[in-house]
Amino acid sequence: MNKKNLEILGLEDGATAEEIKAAYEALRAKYLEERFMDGEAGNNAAKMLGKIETAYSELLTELKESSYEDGENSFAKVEQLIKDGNLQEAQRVLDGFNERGAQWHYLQSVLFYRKNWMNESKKQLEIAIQLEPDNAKYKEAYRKLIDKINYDANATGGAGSANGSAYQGQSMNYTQPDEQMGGDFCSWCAQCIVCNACLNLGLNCCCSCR
Amino acid sequence: MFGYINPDAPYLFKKDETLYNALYCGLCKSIGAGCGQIARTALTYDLAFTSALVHNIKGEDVKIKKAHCGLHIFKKRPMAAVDDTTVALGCVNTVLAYFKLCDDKADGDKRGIFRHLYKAGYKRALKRHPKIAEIISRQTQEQAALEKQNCAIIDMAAEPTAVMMREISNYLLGEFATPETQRLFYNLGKWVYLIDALDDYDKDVKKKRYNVLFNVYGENCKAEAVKKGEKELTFIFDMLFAEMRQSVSNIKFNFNHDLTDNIILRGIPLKTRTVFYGGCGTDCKKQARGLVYEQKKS
Repeated sequence: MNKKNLEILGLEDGATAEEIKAAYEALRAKYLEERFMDGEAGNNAAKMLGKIETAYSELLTELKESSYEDGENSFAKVEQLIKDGNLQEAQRVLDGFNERGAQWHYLQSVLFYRKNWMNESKKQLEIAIQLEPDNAKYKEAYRKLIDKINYDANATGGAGSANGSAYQGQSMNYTQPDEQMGGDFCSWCAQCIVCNACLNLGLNCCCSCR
Repeated sequence: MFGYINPDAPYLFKKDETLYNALYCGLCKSIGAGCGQIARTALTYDLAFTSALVHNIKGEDVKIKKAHCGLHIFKKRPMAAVDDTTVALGCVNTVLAYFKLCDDKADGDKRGIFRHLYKAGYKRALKRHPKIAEIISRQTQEQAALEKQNCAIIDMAAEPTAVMMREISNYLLGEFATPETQRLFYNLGKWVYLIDALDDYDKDVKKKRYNVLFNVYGENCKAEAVKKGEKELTFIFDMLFAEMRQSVSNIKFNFNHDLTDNIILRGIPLKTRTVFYGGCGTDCKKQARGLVYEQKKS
C-alpha cells in the first residue's frame, strides 16, 4: 500500500478497510473542528482535510483492487500460507477479503483446524456447506472432522504393542460395557476420597490421605 | 492450575498410585528446595501428573526412596528424589499460584490477600527460571485483554491457557519437544481452562465476573447452560479427548505410561462428565442431570 497515504492516516502496512475508515473518520472530525482556529493551526487543518480525503479514497481503491485481483490466486496464496504454517499471515490475507463465499469459509475452517480451534473450524465448514451444498470437498472435510472424535487409541497400537495402553479412551457418552457387581459403590467411594484429598490439600496437612 | 487433573481412582493400578503419590511428595520437596517452604502449600496434583509425563517423555527415571517429611514425622513415605525437572515444575506451580492470587486480587476477591505469602517464592522462581515467569505473565496479560473485550468465542478464550501449557512443555522438555507433545499440552491447557469455566459458571454469574460460557449461552445457571449448549460442548470436549488420545498414541514414551494414560484416557473424561452433569459421571448421567434440575427448582 502507498506509504505516504498510510502515514497521513497514521496507519501501518496491512491495515484493513475498517481500520482505514476508522482512522479517516477520527482525523476528519479532528480537523473539521480545528479548521476555524486562527493562525497556522487553522490553515494547517484545512490543508490536512484535503489530504486525508485523497489518502482515504486512494487507499480504499487500492485495497479493493488487491482483493479482487485474480480472486483464485489470492485463495491459492492463503492455501500456501496455511501449508507453510504461517497462520498469522494467512489470517491477515483472509481478513482482507470483502466477498466471503463458500471457498472463503472453507479456508477459514482449515486455518482454524490448524490452530486446533476445532469448534470454530466446524462452524466455518458448516457455513461453507450451507453456501455450496453440492461441494464434495467440503462434505468430505466435514465427515473427516466429525470422524476424528471416534479416534481409537488402541486401533493402531493395541494392548501389548510398543505404545499400547491398558486403558480405553472415553467420551462424554460413556457407559460401562458390563455392569459392575455392587454397582457404582467404588466410584462413589473414590469420589469421596478425591474430595477428602482436595480438602486436605486446602488445609495442607497431608501428602495424600489414603 | 486448578486441581482438575485427577486419575480415575478405582481403575488406577496400585503401582501407579504409589508412583503418583511419590511424585507428589517429590514435588513438594522440590518446591521447598527451589522456592521456599511457604510455597509448598500451593502444590496441586496437576503437577504430579505433569511430572510423570515430562519424566517419561524425557526418559529420566525417578528415584523413589522412603523418607520423612515435615508433615509426616512418624511414618516414612515413598518420595521421588528432587531433580532439575521437579524443581522447574515447582517453579511453575509457585508462579501459577502467585499469578492466580494476583488475578483474584484484581477481581476484588478476598483470597487475593494470600498472594503476599507466595511473593518470596515467586521471586526465587523468577530468578531460577525467568522463562517460566515470562510465559505465565504473558498468558495472564492476554487473558486479561480477552476478558476486557468480553470475548464470546470459546476457542479464542481458551487460547492463552492452551498456548501457555504448550510453551511450558516446550521449555521443560527442551530437545524432546515434538509437535505431538505440543499438541497434547495445548489440549490439556484448553481442557483445564474450559472445565474451570464450566465449574465456576454459577459463581461467576453470581459475582458478575467474566465467563466465556456465560457470554456464549447467556443462561443464569450452569445446568441451563449445559442444557442449551449440550451439543456444542459435547463436541468440544469429545474432540479434546480424541486429540489427546491421538497425541498419547503418537508420543514416544520411554517407560510404560499407565499412570498418565489412566488420567488422560479415563480421569479427564470422567472429571468432565462429573462437572458437566454433576454426580458420579459414570453411568448415572441422566439421573444426575434430573437431580440437578430438581435442586434448581426447589
